[in-house]
Amino acid sequence: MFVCHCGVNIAGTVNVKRVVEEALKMPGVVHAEDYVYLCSQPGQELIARVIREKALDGVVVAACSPSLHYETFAKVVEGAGLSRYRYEMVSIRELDSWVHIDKEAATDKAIRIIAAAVAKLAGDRHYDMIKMNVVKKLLVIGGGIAGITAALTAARMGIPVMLVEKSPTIGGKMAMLSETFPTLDCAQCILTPLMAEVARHPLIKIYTLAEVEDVTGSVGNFRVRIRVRPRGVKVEDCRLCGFCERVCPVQVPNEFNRGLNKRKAIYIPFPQAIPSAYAVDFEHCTKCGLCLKVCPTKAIDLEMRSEVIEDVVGAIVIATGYDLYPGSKVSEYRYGIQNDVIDSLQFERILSVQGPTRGEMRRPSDGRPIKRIVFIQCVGSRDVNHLPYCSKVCCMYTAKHALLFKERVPDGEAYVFYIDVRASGKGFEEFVKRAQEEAGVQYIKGRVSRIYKDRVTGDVVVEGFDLLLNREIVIKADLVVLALGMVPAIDRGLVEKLKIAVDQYMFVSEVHPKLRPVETAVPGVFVAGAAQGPKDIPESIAQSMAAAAKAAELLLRGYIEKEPIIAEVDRDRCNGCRICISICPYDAIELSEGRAVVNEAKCEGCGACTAACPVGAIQLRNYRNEQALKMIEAVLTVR
Amino acid sequence: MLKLAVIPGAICGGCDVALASVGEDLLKLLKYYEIVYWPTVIDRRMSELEDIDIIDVLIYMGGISTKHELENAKKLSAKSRIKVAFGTCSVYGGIPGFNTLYSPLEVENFIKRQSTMHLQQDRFGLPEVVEYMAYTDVIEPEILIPGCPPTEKVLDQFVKILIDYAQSRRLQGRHILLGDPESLCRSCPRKPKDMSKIVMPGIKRLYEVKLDETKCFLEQGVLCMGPATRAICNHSCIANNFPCYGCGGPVEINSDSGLAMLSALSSLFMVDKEKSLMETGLARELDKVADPIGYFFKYTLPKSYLSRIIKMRKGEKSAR
Amino acid sequence: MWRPRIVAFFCKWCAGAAAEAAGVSRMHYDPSVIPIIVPCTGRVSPEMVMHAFLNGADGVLIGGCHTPNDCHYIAGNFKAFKRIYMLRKLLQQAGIEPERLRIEWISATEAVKLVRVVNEFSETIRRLGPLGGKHA
Repeated sequence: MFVCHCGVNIAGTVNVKRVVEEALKMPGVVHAEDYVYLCSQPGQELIARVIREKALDGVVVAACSPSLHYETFAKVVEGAGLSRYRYEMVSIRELDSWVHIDKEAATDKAIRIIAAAVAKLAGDRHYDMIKMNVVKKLLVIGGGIAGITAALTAARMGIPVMLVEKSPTIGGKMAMLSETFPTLDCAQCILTPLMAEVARHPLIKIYTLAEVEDVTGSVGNFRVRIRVRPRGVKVEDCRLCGFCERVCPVQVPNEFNRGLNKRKAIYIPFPQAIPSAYAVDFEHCTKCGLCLKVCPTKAIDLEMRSEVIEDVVGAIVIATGYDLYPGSKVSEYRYGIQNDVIDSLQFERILSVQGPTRGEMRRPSDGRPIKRIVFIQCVGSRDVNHLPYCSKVCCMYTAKHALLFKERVPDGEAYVFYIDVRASGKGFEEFVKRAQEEAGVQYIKGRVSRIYKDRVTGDVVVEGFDLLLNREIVIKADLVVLALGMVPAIDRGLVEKLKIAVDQYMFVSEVHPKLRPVETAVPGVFVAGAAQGPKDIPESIAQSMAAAAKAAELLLRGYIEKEPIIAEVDRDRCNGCRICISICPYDAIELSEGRAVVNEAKCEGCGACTAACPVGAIQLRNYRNEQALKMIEAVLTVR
Repeated sequence: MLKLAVIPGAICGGCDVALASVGEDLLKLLKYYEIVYWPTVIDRRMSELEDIDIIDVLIYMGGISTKHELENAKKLSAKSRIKVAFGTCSVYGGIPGFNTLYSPLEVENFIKRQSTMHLQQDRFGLPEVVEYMAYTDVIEPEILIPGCPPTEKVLDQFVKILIDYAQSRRLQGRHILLGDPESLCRSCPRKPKDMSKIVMPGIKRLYEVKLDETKCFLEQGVLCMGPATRAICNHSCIANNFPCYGCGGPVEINSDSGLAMLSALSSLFMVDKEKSLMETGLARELDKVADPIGYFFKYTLPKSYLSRIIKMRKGEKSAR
Repeated sequence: MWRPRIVAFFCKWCAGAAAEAAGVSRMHYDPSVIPIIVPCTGRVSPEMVMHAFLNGADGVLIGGCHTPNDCHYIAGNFKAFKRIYMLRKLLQQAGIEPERLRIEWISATEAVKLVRVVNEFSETIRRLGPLGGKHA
C-alpha cells in the first residue's frame, strides 16, 4: 500500500503516517509506505523496487484521482512484473483531503477508503486483454454526400468499402440541388466527380436498390445481410440510349423532381446517375415488353430477381441522411393541396436546368412565369406543434433561393418570412446580406397564418404578420416556397437491428455530443451527416471524414484489444432464467445449452447483470458480489 | 433399533401431513427406526422422552416462538445424533417469520387481545413469547428439508438417507440441504424453446391476465419466485398454473432469496419502457406490489438481511 | 459522540466525476459520507445496500447519471432506480425510515449539486439518528 503526500495536498489534511500504521493492520497488507510525490520518477521507482524486493502480489495506491495517474502506476506495476489488475488506485485527494477541513475526519475517511480498496484487491484476478480480430471492411449505409465521402475517405486509406443505397443511384439529396450556398457552386458539378470516383475506385463496391436486411455480430465482425432489389436492367450492357424510355407506356410521378413532372416505369433518375444505367420500377411496370423489343443491347431483363448479399465487415457508418418534414402536416399552408405551394427541394428542381421547367421560372400549376415569390422559413421547425428543433440549413438555402431567383428574374419580387436568420458559417452572414441588400430580397420578420389560392386571379395569397412594422401583411404571389424542416430518413427497422440509440426525433444519438460526435453507443458503428442531426454539406463532409477516420482506427490495426473487465458466468450456478439476457443494454449475453454465456466483444462491464442475477451466477470480473460486500464491510468496520 | 422422534415446534400441521403422506415407505423405516415420539401418529408422552438418553434422529418441525419450544428444542437436540430441520419453518422460519417484525411484547399483546388463547389462560396459562426464530437458529442440523410442506421429491430423498444411515451409521455429508442445487428455472416447463428475452409487461395479478398456460409467468407480468427458489419440487405449482411462491427457500442456504428476487424482478420489470415511462411511470407500476415483505419474504423473513437489520435495530444480538 | 456513518455508491462517469470536480474546486462538504466508486449505479444491488445497513451504515446514498439518456451504459440508472424504489418500499413497510436510502442523479458537471446532496443527506441522517445496533 502506497500513500502519497502529494506535497501538502494530501498530507496537509490527512495524517499519512497514521494511515500507513492502520494500513499495515489490514488483511493481506505486508508493506505500507508513504511518499511525498508517488507520481514522480523516484516515487515510481520506489513502488517498482518494493514490488520486486518484497515479491508483492498486489498494490494499492492512495493518492490523487485515478483519472490522472491510474495508467501511470499501472505501467509501473506491469514493469515490475505484476498484473495491472492486481493494482487498485483510490483518490484520497479529490475525494477527501481537498474537500474536508476536519483533519481527524479526513484521516479516518482516508483509512476507510483505502480499506475498501484493500478488500477489493483481495478478490482481484489477472485477466488477459481480449483480442479480437477485425475484418478490414467498412459498410456505409446511404449513398448521399455523407456516404460517398465516408466511402472515399476509407477507400483512400486502403479499406474495402460496401456502399449500400436504397434508391437506384447514389448522390442523395445533393444531386437534386441546383447550386450550393454560399459559393453558388453548381451542386452536380462538384458532386458528380465524387460519384464517378466512387464508381471507379477498386476498393468500393456500390449496391443500389439495396437495403440492409439484418446485422448480427459485433465490432470487428459484423455479419450483414443486404437485400438488393432487381434493377431489371443489366448495368454493364445499358448504353443510356433511352429508347426503352420512349416506348414505355407507363407514367408515374417523378420522385427526383419531387412529383413536379412524370417519369416512365423504366427510367434513369438523372443523367449522371451512378450506376450509369436505367432501372425498372417494378411496382408500376406492366411487363408489356415494349422496352425489350427496342433495347439494342438486350440489357433489359424483366425477370430479374432480388439478390441477397451476405458479408462480414469490421465497422459500419450510418449515413442515411434526411427527408423533408411532410408539408401537409402544416395544413394552414395548403401544401399538397395547392400546386403552387411547394417545398424547398421542389424549388431546387425548378431552378435546375435539368429540372421539370428546364430552369425557367415557371410555376407548376399553369406554367405562369414567376414574378412574385414568397419564401417561408421555419415551416414545421422551431414549432411545438411539429418539430421543436431548428433545421439549421433553411435560412441559408432560402437566402440562396431568393438570390438565384432575383438573378434570373431581375424585375421580380422576392419576400422571405422569417423568425430569425441563422447564418453562422463562413461567409454565411455576408451571403444573406448580399441577398437582402444587393439583390433586394425583402425580409419580413413574422409568420404566415394562411395561404390560399385566389380562384379569379390565380394568385397564391399569403396572409402574414410583419412584426417589425407591427401590422398584417398580405402578399399576392405566383409561388410560395416552404422551408420545411429536416427529419431523419432512417427507418426503425435498421435502428433496431443495429441497436443504436436514437433521440425522440429519430436522429442517431452520438455517444457524447461534445467529445464524440461521430460514434454511436454501439462500438464499431459510426454516424455521419444529416442522420445525426440537421446540417449542411460541408459539415456532412467533415463528419463523414471523421467517421471514416474513426472506423479506420480499428480497421487498419487488424485487431482490437479490449479491457477484459467484463462479466462472466459460472455455468454450474446458472439456471437459464434469462433475466440477465433481458436486461443487458448491449445484448451481450446469450444462452448456450440452457445457460447464459457472455459475448466478450459486446460486454462493456457495467455490472447490471451481476446485481440482477437471482442466484449470483453472473459476476462482473474484479467487482464480484463477494468483493463488493467485503468492501462495504471494510469501509464500515475497519475501525 | 434406532430411535426417531418427530418434535413439533410452532407448526401448522402441514409437515405432519406431508411426512405421514410418505405412506408405505414409512413402513420401510420401521425396520430400522422406533418412533419414540410423533403425536400425529403414535400415542406417547413428551415426558417419556426424558428417559431416553440418545435420540438417533430428531425431526424438528416448525419454528420456535415460545420459551417452552425453545427450551424443548435445545434440550432434545442436545441429546440427538442426527438433527433434521423439517420444513421451511424449521429451516428458514417460514410464514410465521413475519413475527420478527414485531417484538415479543407486541406478540403477547396480540395473543391477549385478539386471539382466543386468552379465553383459556386460566386453565392453560399463556405461552411466554420469545423472539421468533427458526430451528436452525438454535442448533446446526445435519439434514435440512425445505418445503412448505416438504414435497414428495425431497421426502423420497429423505427416506433414502434415513435408510442409508440406519444401515451404515454414517451420513454422506454434513448439513445436507435436500432438493436439487439449482433454481426452478433450470427445468421449468414454461421456459420457451427459443430462449428469447423476457419482456415483462408490468405487474399483473393472476386474475388480471388471461393466463397462457405454456408461457413463463414473468413474460405475462405475473410475479414468480422460481428464479431464486431451490428446486425441491417437480414444479407442482408452476405446472398447475400457479406461480411459485418460493416455499423451497433459496438455492443456497445462506442466500437471501427474497432480496435477490426483489433485485431481479425490479431490474427486469418493463425494461423496454424505461425511457418512455421514466421514474414516475415506473414507480406507479411498481406500486402495484403492495406488500413487498409478504411477497418476497413469505417463507424466509427470519433469515433475511431485513430481519437481521430489524433485530439489530431492536438492540438484540443477531441470531446468525 | 455519535457521528453518522454513510456509505455512498457513486458511478465513476457521473456522480464520481462530480465528486472529483468538487475536490478540484476545493468545495467542502460533510465528511460523514464514504464514497465507493462503482462502474455504474446499475452495479449496485439491494444486497449491497442492506449489507451496508447491517454493518453499521446509518444511511446509504447512491449517485448516478441523469435519466433518461446520460448513463454511460445506456440504462443502468433505471435499473438502480427500480431496485432502490422497491427497496425503499420494503424498508418503509418494515418500519425503517426509507429516507435513509437516497438515490440522486448528479452529472459530472454538477459538483455543486453533489456537495448539496451530501450535506443535505448527512443532515438528514443526523436528524434520523443512528440506525441501531452495536455500532450506534
